[in-house]
Amino acid sequence: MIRTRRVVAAQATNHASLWLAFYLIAFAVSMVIGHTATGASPDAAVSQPDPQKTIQLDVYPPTITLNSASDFQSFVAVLRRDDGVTLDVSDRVRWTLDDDKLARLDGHILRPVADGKTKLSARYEGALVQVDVEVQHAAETPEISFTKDVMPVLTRSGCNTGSCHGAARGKDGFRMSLFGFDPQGDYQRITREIGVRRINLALPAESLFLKKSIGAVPHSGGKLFDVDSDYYATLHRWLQAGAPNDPAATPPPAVTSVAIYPPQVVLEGKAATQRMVAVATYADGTTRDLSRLAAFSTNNASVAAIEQDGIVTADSRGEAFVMARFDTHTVGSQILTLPEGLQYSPPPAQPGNYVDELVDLKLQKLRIVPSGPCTDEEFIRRITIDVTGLLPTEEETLRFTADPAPDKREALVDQLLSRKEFSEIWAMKFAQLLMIKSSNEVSKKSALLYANWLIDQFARNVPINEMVHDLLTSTGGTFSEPATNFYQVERDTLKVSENVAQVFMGIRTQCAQCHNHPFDRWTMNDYYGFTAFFAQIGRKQAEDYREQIVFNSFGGETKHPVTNQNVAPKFLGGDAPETNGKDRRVVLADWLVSPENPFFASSIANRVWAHYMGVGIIDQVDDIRISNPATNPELLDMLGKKLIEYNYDFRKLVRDICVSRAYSRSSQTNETNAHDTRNYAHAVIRRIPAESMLDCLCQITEAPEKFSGLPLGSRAVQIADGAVTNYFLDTFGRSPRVTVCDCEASTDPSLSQALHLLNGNSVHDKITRSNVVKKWLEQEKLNADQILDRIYVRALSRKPDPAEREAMQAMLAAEGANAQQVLEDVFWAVLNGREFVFNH
Amino acid sequence: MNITRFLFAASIGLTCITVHAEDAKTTDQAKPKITFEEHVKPIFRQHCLTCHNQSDKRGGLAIDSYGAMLEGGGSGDVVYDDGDIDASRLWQLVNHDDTPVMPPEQPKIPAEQLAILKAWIEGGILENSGSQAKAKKNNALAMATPATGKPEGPPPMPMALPQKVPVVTPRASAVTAIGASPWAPLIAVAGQKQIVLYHGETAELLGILPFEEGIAQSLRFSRDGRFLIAGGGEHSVRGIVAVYEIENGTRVATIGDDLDTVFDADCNDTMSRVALGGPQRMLRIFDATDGSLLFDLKKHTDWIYAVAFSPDGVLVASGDRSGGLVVWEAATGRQFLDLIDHKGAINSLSWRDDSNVLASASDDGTVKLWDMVQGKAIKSINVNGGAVTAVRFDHKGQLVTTSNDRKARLFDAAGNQTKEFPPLPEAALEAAITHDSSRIVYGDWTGTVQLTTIADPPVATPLAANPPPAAERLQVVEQTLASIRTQLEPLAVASQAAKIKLDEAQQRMNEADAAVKAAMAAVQASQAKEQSLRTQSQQLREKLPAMTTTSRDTHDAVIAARLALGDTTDAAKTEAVAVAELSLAKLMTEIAETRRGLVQSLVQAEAEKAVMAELTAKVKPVEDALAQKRAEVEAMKKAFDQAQQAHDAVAATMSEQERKKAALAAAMQ
Repeated sequence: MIRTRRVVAAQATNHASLWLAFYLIAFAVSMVIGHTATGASPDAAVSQPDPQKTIQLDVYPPTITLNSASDFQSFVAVLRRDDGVTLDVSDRVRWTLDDDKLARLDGHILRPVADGKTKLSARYEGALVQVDVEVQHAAETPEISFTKDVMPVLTRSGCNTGSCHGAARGKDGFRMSLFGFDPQGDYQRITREIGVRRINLALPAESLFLKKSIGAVPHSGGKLFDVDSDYYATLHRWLQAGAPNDPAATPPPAVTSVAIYPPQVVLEGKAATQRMVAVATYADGTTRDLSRLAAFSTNNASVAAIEQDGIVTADSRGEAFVMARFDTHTVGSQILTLPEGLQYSPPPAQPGNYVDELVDLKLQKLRIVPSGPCTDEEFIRRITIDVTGLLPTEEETLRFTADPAPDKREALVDQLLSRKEFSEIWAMKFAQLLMIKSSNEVSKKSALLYANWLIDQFARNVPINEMVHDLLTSTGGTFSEPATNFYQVERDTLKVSENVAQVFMGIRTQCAQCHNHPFDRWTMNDYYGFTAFFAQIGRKQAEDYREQIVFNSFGGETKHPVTNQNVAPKFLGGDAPETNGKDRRVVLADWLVSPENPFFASSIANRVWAHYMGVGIIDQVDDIRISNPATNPELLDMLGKKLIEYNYDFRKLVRDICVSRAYSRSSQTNETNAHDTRNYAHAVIRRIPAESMLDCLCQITEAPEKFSGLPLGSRAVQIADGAVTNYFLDTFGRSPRVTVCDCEASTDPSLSQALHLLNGNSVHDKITRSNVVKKWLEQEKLNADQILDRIYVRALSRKPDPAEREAMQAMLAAEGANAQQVLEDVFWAVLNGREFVFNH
Repeated sequence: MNITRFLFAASIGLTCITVHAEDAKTTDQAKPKITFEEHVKPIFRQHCLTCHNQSDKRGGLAIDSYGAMLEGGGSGDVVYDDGDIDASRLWQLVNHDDTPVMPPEQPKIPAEQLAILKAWIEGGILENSGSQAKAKKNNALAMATPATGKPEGPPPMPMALPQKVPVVTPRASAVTAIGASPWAPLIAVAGQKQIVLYHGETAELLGILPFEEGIAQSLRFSRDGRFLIAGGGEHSVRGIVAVYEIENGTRVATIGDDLDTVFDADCNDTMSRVALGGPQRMLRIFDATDGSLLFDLKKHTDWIYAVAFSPDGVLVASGDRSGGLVVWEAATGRQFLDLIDHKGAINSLSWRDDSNVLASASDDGTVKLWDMVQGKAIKSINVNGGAVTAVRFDHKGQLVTTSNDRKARLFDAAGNQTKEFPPLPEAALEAAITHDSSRIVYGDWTGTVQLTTIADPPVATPLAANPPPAAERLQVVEQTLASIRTQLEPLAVASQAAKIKLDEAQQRMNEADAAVKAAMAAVQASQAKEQSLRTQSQQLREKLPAMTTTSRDTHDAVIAARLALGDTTDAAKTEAVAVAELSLAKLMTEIAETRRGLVQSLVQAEAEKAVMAELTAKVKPVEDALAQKRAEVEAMKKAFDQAQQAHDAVAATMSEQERKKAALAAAMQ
């Protein structure tokens, strides 16, 4: 396919002569490659914004090929204004064909006439964009193919969704494979099951299959299309031809890629629309217009809705992602919607690292003004909880707030990162993901050894890639090589592969076990190809009955449940490597932690980012999929790259994040960023995780907790065995370590949490049992105000405000007030306040 | 030591005794006794007991003790003491007749051990050498003589059927139903809004029954063959059962009103009940006379695919898409048996004529035969052709099946395959066998339907489920007529010529006959004449003595007169003498004449006799000529008759064609 296009670019503008001269030069050069006419350099536009100025006209798709008499291709012209807003100008553009004997224009659809090559020209206000058009086989009308033509109609019509015939047991006696993962099975069921129930080759129009879909007979799924639709025509033609199957020897070409255009849309004002064009490319090089065949969807209909004809309509302000699903491919396009007539002036550029640059860039696109920086008190509390899982001590807080040094925040970050609590937090997080927990399969000793191994890895700052590599390739006894417990915690081959994908790549492959992933690229082939890496794990009993030995058995295969054939190992989204004579896990681990794997570094970076920023660039952090796109892909990419650059030492990455302006923003919102939670325009308020919260409570009340198997004074973060827990931790959503899902550790509120803080033994008992107030009163001889300060600084890292102070004074002044009791009550009240429970 | 020795000796003695006893037995039964303890348990121990022991009891089955084994497992008894090997679940699984094969994921038990197991089960599952086998029962597959239900008089065949084709399609759809009359050469094939009837021997299209409700999914004949019961309708819209009278094709009843099509329907023996089932999962039994719903039976969890009344009308069986098979009491609607064994959809049901055995064809690749008395499967036939789509019994208890591998197969009454028919282009879906078990009809997914002879070599005649329209068939009939006419013409000419020849020969024969008659008449005349002459002569002879006497008297009178005269010349006396003499002379003359006449008559008679002999001699050749002419006539007549017959035969087909033409012409209007 020829990708060179001559673009004659010109702009009808009334600019200064300088601009005119520039255009003339541009005109003279006029050798811009691409389906784009560009009138000015973007840099110039940014430096001197003129919102209404149009700088770019694009025509999609970038090339058009028509492959048969029945083929067609729709196209769209998009004008991008200087302020980034895009307009669908297909109706306003003058479309012409260089040679109208080869093809004909039918609205915004191009239909073939005769074979040959020509160009489709779009003219708009002096700009001209040309798109190559190639017509092949214009005289041939291909036969209807079941896989290539019939299945897309069924999928598009929603016949094989999970709520309809795609359900595991089918619907109303008719089952199809979910989203068509098994076309041959579907062919058999449609044509062969129950004789002529579904099809009637004598009278094709009498086929139940057709009558149901047009609603001519009662159908639970209702009417799906009209008799005069092209869908009906396709099915009817196929039935008229005798409902043939695709020849097994020469199957129709597979879909190699799907594209959706335009790649990014910025809509201004409610009800602004943009028509999307989706194009599939097949293995034989032919293309196909999917406007009538892809299933379109949006991940945020309140921002941008998309109809099944591909028209996106803007609604409330925000960001959405519209997707086209066809065959096993899902592709998406970002849609930004802005209110009409929005007054926006970007905030003055401030120094910052790459994190801030990329975050600010996104915020500019969205016309969002970020919140200002948080106070020092907020900052020290926020970062201390995030990095160490503890509260800053009174002394730390006071010293920090009093410190006049301009780089004191960076210094604090560095100081906190060097503390052992930092690695303990991450060891615990990974222990949750790895489900370290004693059970029937994993003895207590194994679990402890496994946890110690993990803590040691983090304490020694072993690069995460090395740690994961060691973990995946671990061989030996579960005592002598504790990392082998990874294969002991989960013994099911399928689940092991799912866990590896979810924990280390952030991908949930579970769907693809039974059918192609409906909203992602993963097929059953991918799933079983990936699973094959774990098919040869051998296990045997060691001398100690509690110990198992994990080894590579060099035997065992994975069978594809549809074809019942062995599946060769294949990296998820990568190649099929040669594994003969090798430990497949080593082959996998080598690839998994290598930079060739696009998922490892970025998904780890995303987990790190989410921990400190409250929400992942991709959220959930372990649900990376096309239909759940990154809010800031450039940032995610950069974080991943940096992690690799830092040799997988994510302490450095954490530093980058924590010293950024984005991290230290106030949680107070302004008018422009109040609606936004995903672009880091303000700090996200988060409840403190269960373990850290208990540790904080113990810390400030000086009343340590006793956990089974650990010495008194150990922190909840240090609990190695997931089976060890207490009521507080369970109530506050500690991870039960049953699955690898990041969501297992929950910070969702519940009534029992509130009641437990109010009435349970954790707060009240700790205050009274430790006698900390009494100690302050009697040993340190502090007065009530000092104690109040101490309580506030300890719990909230700030001094009480006058109203709070007055309230305490009022209580102390009351008749018969006992200072200790009043202060304990105040302490109790502070710990029950929302300000304490949240990291803000 | 001594004791040991004693025991040893004693045991030898005992062994000798038992050997003798066994010898006696083996001569009795001519077979060694296979017992559980001695022969079978070692085999079980080797292959089965790891799982099927009394502590593990996998599948609820333990076979490590005889008693536990008799209790059976989770799916019922595994062996029976009546020697019925086909019914033994244990045997079915170890012999890999059914799944799950046992022992699982291991090679089959070696053949010699299987042989022991077989002998043991057939021998009546003896526990130990002391056990006695029960008397072996008759083979369940031995069919009791059934009440045939054959009607009095000639078997019902159509007389005048509609000929109009309601829907004409260039291509047939997958065949949904085929039926064969139990007593007449008559076959029904379901088409689009029509049921096409064919002659079971000539494959001639006899007529088309309209079925405007849609497509018939089942076609069954009544027990007497007088009615056709068609269940079907439009998918997802309506399901009914239509009953047609075969002789004139009129629809006598339309029963039921389901919300989806009817997959199978049947009438009982007296045509008083109609049962139907379909995607509604309800087995509905109607009163056939007034169409009222009698029973609405909810038991099936999936679409009902097959429904069949037992030939005696006592039971009705229904099978569904998940393998559920239930037998009901037709009169009460109560469940009689719940037959659980199939692992796939039940596509077809058929009863044996004696109503004791039900055959079910299933997607699991088997046809199972169920005994109604024992209430269990007595045979599981592995068809070896993928899903079995149809099964039908014939009067002899033979079974015909069709299966996914495109083939039809024939099994004998014991369930052994006897014949495999040539494959069709696609999966075979429906089958029927003709009343005289001479042909089968089977059809497939492409709509190909074949009438194939069972006798070797199979001769296949296609039957169309989508007959051409009446006009087209009229054209064909007219063409046939024209060709018959051209055939008829020379035959008529030949017949005419033969007639003429016959007439001529007849004429000649008549002439010869007349000649013979004339000759005979002449002989007779001559004979009569001779007779009369002889009579005359006789009469004359008889007259003579009287005349002689009279002459003597007259002579005496003359003498007397003369004496009286003496020499006188007395005139008077002379006169008297003269008168006397004259009278004597007269008398004498008379006598003489008589004598002469007498002689003459005799002479004449003799002459006549000669004439007669001459005439008689002449008769023979005339007669011979006549015989010849007569033979000629016979030959001519034969020739004529032949010509006439040839002509008539053709003329009859012509009139048949003309009748058809008239019917088609009427159908077109």
